[in-house]
Amino acid sequence: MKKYLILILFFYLIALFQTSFLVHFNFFPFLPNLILISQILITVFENPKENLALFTSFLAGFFWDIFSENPLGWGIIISFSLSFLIKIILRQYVRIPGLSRF
Amino acid sequence: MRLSSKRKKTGIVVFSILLILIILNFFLIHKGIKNFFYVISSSPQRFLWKIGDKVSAFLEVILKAQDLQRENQELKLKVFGLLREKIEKDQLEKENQVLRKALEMGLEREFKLEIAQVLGKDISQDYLLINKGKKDGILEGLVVMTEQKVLVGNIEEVYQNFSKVKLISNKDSSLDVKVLEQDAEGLLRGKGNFKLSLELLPKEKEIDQGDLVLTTSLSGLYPKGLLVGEIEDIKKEDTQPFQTARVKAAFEIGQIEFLLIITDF
Repeated sequence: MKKYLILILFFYLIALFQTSFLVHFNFFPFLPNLILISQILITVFENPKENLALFTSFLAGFFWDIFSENPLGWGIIISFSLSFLIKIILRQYVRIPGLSRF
Repeated sequence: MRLSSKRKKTGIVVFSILLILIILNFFLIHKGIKNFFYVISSSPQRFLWKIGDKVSAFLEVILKAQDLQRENQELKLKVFGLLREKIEKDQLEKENQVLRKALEMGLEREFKLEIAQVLGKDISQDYLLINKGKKDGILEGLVVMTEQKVLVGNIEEVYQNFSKVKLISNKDSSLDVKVLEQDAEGLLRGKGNFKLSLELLPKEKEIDQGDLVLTTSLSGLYPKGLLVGEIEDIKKEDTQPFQTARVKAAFEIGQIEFLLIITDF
C-alpha cells in the first residue's frame, strides 16, 4: 500500500514539475516527457511477477491528462499501450541475465 | 491456467478503467476532476512556475551569450555596410549635383566632359589627385575646371586609375588670358601657393581691381571663356614696358570635391 501511495505522490509531483517548471525551458531543442520516461523505466525494470506497470501506466496517463489539454483517458491509453508493448518485447525477445528488477 | 486467469483479470480492469473514463468524458465529469486537481495544485504550481521562470531566464542568458556575441558582430558588420552604402549614396548625390549644374550651364553642349572626384590635395605644390586615369580615357594636358566653368588646371600626369592635376597657381603653369572688361590680353603665371600673376599686360589698358580674367584660345591649349579669377591689385611702373597684376583665383581649393575634365572642346 505504501508503495502505491509513494507512486501516486511521485507521478503527481512529476506532472507538476513537467507542466510548471520544465515548460520554461523551451529554448532547448526538445523537452523530455518525464512522466512517460518514468513510467517506461518502471515498466522495464519491474519484477515480471508484479503488475505494478499497469498501475503506474494508469497514474502516468491520468496525471498527464489532468495537467494537459488532453481529454481524460487519452494519456492513459497511450501509457497502457506503451507498457504492453514494452512488456511483450521484454517477455518475448529480451533476456538480461543478472538484471535485478524491483 | 493461473496465468490466463490473471491476464483476464488485468484485461477486465483495463477495460473497466477505460469505460469509466469514456463515461466521465461523455458526461463532462472530467472537468470537475481536473478542477479539483488544479485547486489543490495551484500553490505548488505557482511556486514551481516562478522558480522555473527564474532558472530558465538565467540559463537562457548563459546559453545565448555566444549567440548574442555573434549577433552583435553581424549587426556591426551590417552597420558598417549601411554606412558604406550611405557614403556611396552621398557621393553619387554630390556627383549628380555637379553634373546637374554643368547641364544647367550648358557645358555639355560646349565640351565633352568627364567627372572626377578629388582624392588628395598637395597644397604646398599646387597639385590635386583625381580618381580618373588612363582607363577612363584621360590624357596628359587635358583641361580641368569646376562645374561653374572655373579653370582649375590641367592634367600633368596620368596613371591607370588616377591622374595628377597641376593647378594654374603652380609655379610651372602659364596660360594666355584676357581681362574681360578691357579686352586686354596677357600671360597668367602661377606663383605657387595659390598665387597668380598676370603679366605682359599692355600699359595703355586701364585695368581695375575686381576685373574678371578669362582664358583665351590663343595657345589652343585652353578653351576660351573659362573664368580664371579677378584682379586683386595692379602694378604699373614707368620703367617697365608692361603692367602686371595680382589675380585671385576663382576657385576655392577647400570647396572642391568634384571636377570636370574637358576631354574635347
